[in-house]
Amino acid sequence: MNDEYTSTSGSSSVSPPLETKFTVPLEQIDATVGGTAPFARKVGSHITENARRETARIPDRVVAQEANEVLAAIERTAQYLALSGQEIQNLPPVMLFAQEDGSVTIEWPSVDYRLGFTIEANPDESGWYLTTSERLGEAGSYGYLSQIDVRFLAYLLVNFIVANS
Amino acid sequence: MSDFLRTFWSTLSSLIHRLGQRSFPDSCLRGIPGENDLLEDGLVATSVFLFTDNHKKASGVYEQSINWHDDDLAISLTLNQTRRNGELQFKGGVAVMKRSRIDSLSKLPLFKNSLSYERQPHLRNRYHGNLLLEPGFSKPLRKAMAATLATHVSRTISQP
Repeated sequence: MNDEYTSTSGSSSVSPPLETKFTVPLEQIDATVGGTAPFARKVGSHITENARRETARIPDRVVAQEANEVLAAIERTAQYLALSGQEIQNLPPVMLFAQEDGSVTIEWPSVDYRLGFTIEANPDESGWYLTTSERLGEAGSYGYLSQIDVRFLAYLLVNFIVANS
Repeated sequence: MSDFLRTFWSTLSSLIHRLGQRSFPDSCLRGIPGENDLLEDGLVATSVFLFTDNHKKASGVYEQSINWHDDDLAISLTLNQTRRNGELQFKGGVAVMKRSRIDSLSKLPLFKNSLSYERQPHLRNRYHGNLLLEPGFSKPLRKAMAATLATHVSRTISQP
């Protein structure tokens, strides 16, 4: 299964290899934020702390673990952006919604866009989406989490949030 | 006599259905089930617009119940709809969606002209209808579609 990036023009493409996407390699991002910098860890935690609390109440532990991995990827990106000088204190917190079928959605809902990660009991069905309002061009993209590095995806999507906050 | 009544009833229902397909108002109403489904700033939770495997026609077409906004009575009827146990069915209120938005969204690559709607009136609710989605879409795509629909809600009406 390939992620589909569907633009408003109708074109879709398979995602290019990871190493061509980052201006900074993933390993350097991890090294930058993986140390003992309490300032870096505190900055950005407001984005995920509410959602983190909700993961404790997810009955399916596999779903809970995958949700925590997504939240960790979001935190890592936020911390990296903060260390890079980006203003992230005004970023809205992400929300976690538990669905009746046992799945979980981690989402930034706003007037102009929705950006979400959907965590299913069957990991092969877990996905992500980005959709925008008419004002932002009615863009729509989605894909499967199993086919993409969630750290890269979080980097892409959090940057979108930053650009539109 | 019962055969006559059955035939009469069937004919009347069919007539009501056919008459209903002729025209649609400018907007439709999607009930918001829970108070937690109405978010801050009047946003609607994505799950409100999710096409699920539990709600399909025999043909495999996904359907979501709506009420057509033919008049203001449709709003009060929707807000006051109750479950069998007497509780309000839509504690979160009502989401209003413009029909022109639905038509536009269906043309987007994400929907591939697969989104449509119908009237499906019945004797207790002449406003009833459905949003329809053709079969064959994966779960991640259906969730992306739900998020898109939720993003394009024109306004919400809370319970008083």
